[in-house]
Amino acid sequence: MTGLPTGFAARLTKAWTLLYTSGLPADRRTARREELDSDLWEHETWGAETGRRSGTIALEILWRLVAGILADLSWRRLEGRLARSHKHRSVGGETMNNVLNSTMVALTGVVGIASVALGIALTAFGDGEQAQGGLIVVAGFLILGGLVAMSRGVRGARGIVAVGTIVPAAMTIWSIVTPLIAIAICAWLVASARSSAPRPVPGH
Amino acid sequence: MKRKPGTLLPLETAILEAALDLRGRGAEQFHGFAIARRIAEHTEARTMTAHGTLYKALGRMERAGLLESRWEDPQIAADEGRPRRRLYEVTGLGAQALSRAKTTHSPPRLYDERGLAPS
Repeated sequence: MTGLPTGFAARLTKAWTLLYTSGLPADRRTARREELDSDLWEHETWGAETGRRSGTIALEILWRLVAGILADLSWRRLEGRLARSHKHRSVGGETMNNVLNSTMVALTGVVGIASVALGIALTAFGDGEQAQGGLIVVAGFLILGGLVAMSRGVRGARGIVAVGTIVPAAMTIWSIVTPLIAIAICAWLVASARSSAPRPVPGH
Repeated sequence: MKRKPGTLLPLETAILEAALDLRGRGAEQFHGFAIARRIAEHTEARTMTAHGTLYKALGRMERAGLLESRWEDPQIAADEGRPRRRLYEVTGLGAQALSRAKTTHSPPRLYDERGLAPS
């Protein structure tokens, strides 16, 4: 039933959902992910039943993903705020760290998705830029995969995100903006690695 | 988006209209994709409502008491070989809100004849 393009679009949507729901309370996180899984399944099934081409369904799914990113981030911010207020721990530096962390995760996720989309566009429509496009797609997947791995506490995940971020930035260094974003993401990765590293116990 | 209390956003109106339309066709409850498809058909839009926009609106409407939701029995979904659905239903409050929006709320006028925003 599922064609290659549709499967790819669905997986990309699931990866994005996995990313922006990470860190939320389990019930909220699971509910959103299951609801999206159901939506994607219904979309694919309906598309197949109505005889639509796999590429058309994939474009519809990708459009629904991209057009909803801002709403996803806004929902995530609201849910994060609700979760923090329930835990009564929204004080000072911790709240600031949480906000910064969520913002950087969201920014990195957007960079990952944008890289995949740009890479696909270059591969499909670029004039002799297929190799570059392919590299950017790989970089985008490294970013997204690395973020998912980070949310699961996999060692080395930050390095994967960093490599994925640096590659497209190096290729578009003339734009100034992308290298700056890459520097900000790498600085955040280093800072978050330090803050999550085990601290020495005094007296040992 | 800021709005007056008791008023509906265009997407919320579309969701309630589509849900009541589905109810009129015998489907008391609906899931997210069904409502996205119905809205697209109803408005003859070329694209369906984005995932983020749709589910954020459904959550907001549920918190406001316009909709109720429940997860379907996992066994039904398993028997049909698909992920389980979250099923929504329009509440009495939701139906009232739509009715009020249709009868008393004319389309918002952003500017008057002189090009001035209403106070």
